[in-house]
Parts: sequence; C-alpha cells; structure tokens
Amino acid sequence: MVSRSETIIDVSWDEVQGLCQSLANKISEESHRDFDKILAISRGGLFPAGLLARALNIRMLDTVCIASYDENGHHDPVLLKEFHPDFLEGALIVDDLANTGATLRLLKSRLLNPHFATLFIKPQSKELVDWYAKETLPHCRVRFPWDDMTHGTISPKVMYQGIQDTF
Amino acid sequence: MTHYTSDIYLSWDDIQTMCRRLAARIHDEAPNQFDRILAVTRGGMIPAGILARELNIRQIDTISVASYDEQHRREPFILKDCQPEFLDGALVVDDLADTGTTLRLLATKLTNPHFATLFVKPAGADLVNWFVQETSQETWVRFPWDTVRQYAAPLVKDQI
Repeated sequence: MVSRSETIIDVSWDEVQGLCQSLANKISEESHRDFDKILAISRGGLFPAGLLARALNIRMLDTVCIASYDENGHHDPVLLKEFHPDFLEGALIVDDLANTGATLRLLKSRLLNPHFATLFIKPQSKELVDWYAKETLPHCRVRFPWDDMTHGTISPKVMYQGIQDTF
Repeated sequence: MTHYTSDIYLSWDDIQTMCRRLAARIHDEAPNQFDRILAVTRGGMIPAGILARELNIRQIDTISVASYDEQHRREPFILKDCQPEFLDGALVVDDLADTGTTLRLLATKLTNPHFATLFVKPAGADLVNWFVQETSQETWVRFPWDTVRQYAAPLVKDQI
C-alpha cells in the first residue's frame, strides 16, 4: 500500500538537466518521427522545453499559458495565453510534471495528434504522457529548483545593492 | 568572426542568482510595469522562466530570430513570431546581447520594447534596458544549458 502521507522530492538544477537529457534520449529512440516544434506549458514547462529543444535541435518553440494552481492549491485549468496556430498539429508538448492530468487533458482536446513529454508523472496521469523521465508516488510533492528558497532568502533590497556593485 | 580570448563558465545557481538580481532591479525601477514576457528563444527561455516566476508574470510568449548567411552578410529574420498582444509593452528577455543583431531587429518590429538580458557586450549594450553583467566582446559566455559537468584531472597526479 502506498502511504497517503506526503513525500517530497527535491530536484536540483543539475538533476533537471540530467532528467531532460534522459528524456531527450527516450524521445529520439522511441519516436517514429523527428519533432521540429516544441510547445512549452508555461511556466513549469519552460525549463525542460528549453533544454529539450537544445538536445533535440529544435528551434521552433512556442508557449501555451495555463493556470492550474492558486495559493489554496488546485483549481480547474484556465487558459491564459493561446498557442500559435502553427503548433496546432505535430508539436511535442512539454511540461515539468503531469500531476492530475487536467492540464494535459485540456490541451489534448485542443490539439491534433499531440505527444506529451514531462519530467515527472504520477500514476493517475501516466496514461496521458508519451515520454517521461521519472514516476513518483501518487501524493508526492515535487519541488523544482526554480521554486527553491536558497537564494530567495536574500532580500530583494540586498540583491539590488549587490547588482549596483557590479555596474 | 570574433576571436575569443576568454571564457566565463556559469553554474545553474549563478544563473538563478543573476535572474533574481535582474528581477529585483526591474521591480525597483519599473514596479508592476509588465504583465507579459517575450522570451527570445532559445537562450532566453530559462532566464524568462525565472524572471516570470519572480515578477509573478503568467503571460509568456516566444519569438525566434535566425539569420541567413548570404556570403557572410548575416541577414536576420523572424523564424517564429509572437502573438499580436505581445508586440506592445512586453518585457523582452534574452540571455546575452552580443552583437545586438537580434535585439535591433526586434526593436524595429516591437512597439516600445524593454529589453532585459543577463549579459551584455559592448556592441549590443546600447539596446538593453536592464542587464546584470557586462563582458568584453571577446569573452565567450558559457551558459549551463550548453555545458555538462565532467571529470577534471587533479593538478598533481600519482607517481607510480
């Protein structure tokens, strides 16, 4: 039995880069076609999308902006910014984490023949994702480095003073 | 072709710290001025993501500039365009303003653009509103997304 208590996975920048590399390897080995377009699900997908684009030598990159978290947790996904029409068909759709799968389901209904790649999946979202780097427990919380507090503990004022020194 | 005489190697933590400093500076000088970020791909993707998170901006689009190499006259053109609502008033983010070719093309296309980059070199510096560090034209800036960690031999080896 999987415990319902929350477990946490902390991911470093170097680990994100390594996971993207293994994800890129899987895609290039298993895909029956070469992708030439990546659609990043903003904001979390921007980071893996940038790294995958480099690894797979893809220059056509677009974003679709979807909000699905607020300060109280989750809500239904809301489309904030539409993708470019050229990305309607045949793009590789990239996100950091497939959690409930709600975001990917929304996109699946709007895209033609989409292929999804994420760094992490959960059992409940697995069926939607074509390629992933790691699977987590159902109630696991994945903390990505872009949300990391280490540098955030410096106050903006101190950071601003720091920048003036370098000018 | 530029002849490079030095390198700067950057870690992911360096990038995150630089982006957070850049965000603090933008927020200090233009508080809440931007609700849209236009990332210049591919180099601008990671800085744009970090800036968007720090400045609480959720509207993010991309634009891509490539260049024709017609007998070494590099003519820039838009490879992938942005949505119309990003043409006016977006914060335009790239990793580096090098020769300035990319940003100059975007400056003619966009209305009232504001450019933010991590690095500037002299030939591209005049276009950039906010940056973190200036380097010489001959410096090769090595970003972590273009490099890998690898084994380095120690200075002194075993005498067998």
